[in-house]
Amino acid sequence: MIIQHHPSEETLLGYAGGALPGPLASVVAMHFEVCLACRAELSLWEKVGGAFLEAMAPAEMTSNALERIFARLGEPVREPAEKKSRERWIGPGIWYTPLVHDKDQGTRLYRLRARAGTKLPTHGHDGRELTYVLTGEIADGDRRYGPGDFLEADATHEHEPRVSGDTECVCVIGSEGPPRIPGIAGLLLRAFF
Amino acid sequence: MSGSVQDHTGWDENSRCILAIAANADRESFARLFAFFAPRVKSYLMRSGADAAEAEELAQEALLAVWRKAASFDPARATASTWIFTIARNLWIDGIRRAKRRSQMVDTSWDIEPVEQPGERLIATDTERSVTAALKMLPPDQVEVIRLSFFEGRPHAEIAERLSLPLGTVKSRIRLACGRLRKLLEDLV
Ligand SMILES: [Zn+2]
Repeated sequence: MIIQHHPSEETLLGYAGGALPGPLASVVAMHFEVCLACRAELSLWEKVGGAFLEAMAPAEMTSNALERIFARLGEPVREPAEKKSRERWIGPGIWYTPLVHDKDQGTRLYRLRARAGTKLPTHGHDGRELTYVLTGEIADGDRRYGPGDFLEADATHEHEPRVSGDTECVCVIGSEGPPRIPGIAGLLLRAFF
Repeated sequence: MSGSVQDHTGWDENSRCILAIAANADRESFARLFAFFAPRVKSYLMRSGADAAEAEELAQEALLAVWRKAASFDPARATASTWIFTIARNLWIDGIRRAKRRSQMVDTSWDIEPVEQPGERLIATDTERSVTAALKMLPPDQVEVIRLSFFEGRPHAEIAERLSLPLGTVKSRIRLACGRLRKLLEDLV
């Protein structure tokens, strides 16, 4: 895997400090899994986080907080239930699998599978959109994104990703705001969500 | 490998507390860690946009996770502060019941406290001291943009708007600050 496109510094910092919303952070985390360079950068910023934490002015905890934790030490660890979600056809050559929808934040995490040549739905310019390519290739302008690559929609540029190459593309997308798909596919998507 | 687990003498106080929890489920060590870190984790979460009740709850969860995950702590790889910071951060990122949107930036000017707080403070590691020292070496306006990127995670454009600065200024400040901090840290760590 040759990784060419990495998260921007602001995205990496946002992740490191915990400010990036969960669905967006999940996409960044997938890139960290495969990218040594970004992991090294992250670990540097986590040290900064450790130092920030030490330097924090302490906030007062409730008086029995420690006792409450001691009382819970034997508690079984609850793993969040795995939510099954089904892949849906949302338009010619595009299948959509919702993974997370945080209604309070208006953020989503979803997987897209799209045939070669398909234009990918984008969310417009009202929020951030982070994409991690699992398989296949996406072209956006003159840039090409392959497996492991990270694609960050930049509000200042026209963003028109499409599946290039001749295999289908599977990617995971974290976005603020709902994805926008023109025409019938968009209507279908809005009907589903 | 197994020998190093027994030899705790090389590690700082905080790390030794975590190792003691892992080895003997040592409650006294946990109480010490709690006293130092729980109030700071709570403070970090409030700075990140949690309200007091949510921050309290998550800080307790974070410390509970410290107890449970103590065996996976490797003092050769991370300091106690960094390890606990990442635990708290991940809990915050995953926090599903985030009641309110973090629509407004928390208005807190960043103060780095003096290092000495007798009686309460455990021994800071060299690494954390270095990072703290490195942060102090940066001009305040650079620390400010780092703080905004780091804790608020807002796009540069939004930070520019909030600080009433041109976007280019914010970008170059962040680039400068990141570059300097990285350089300082690479030399130190
Ligand atoms: Zn990378």
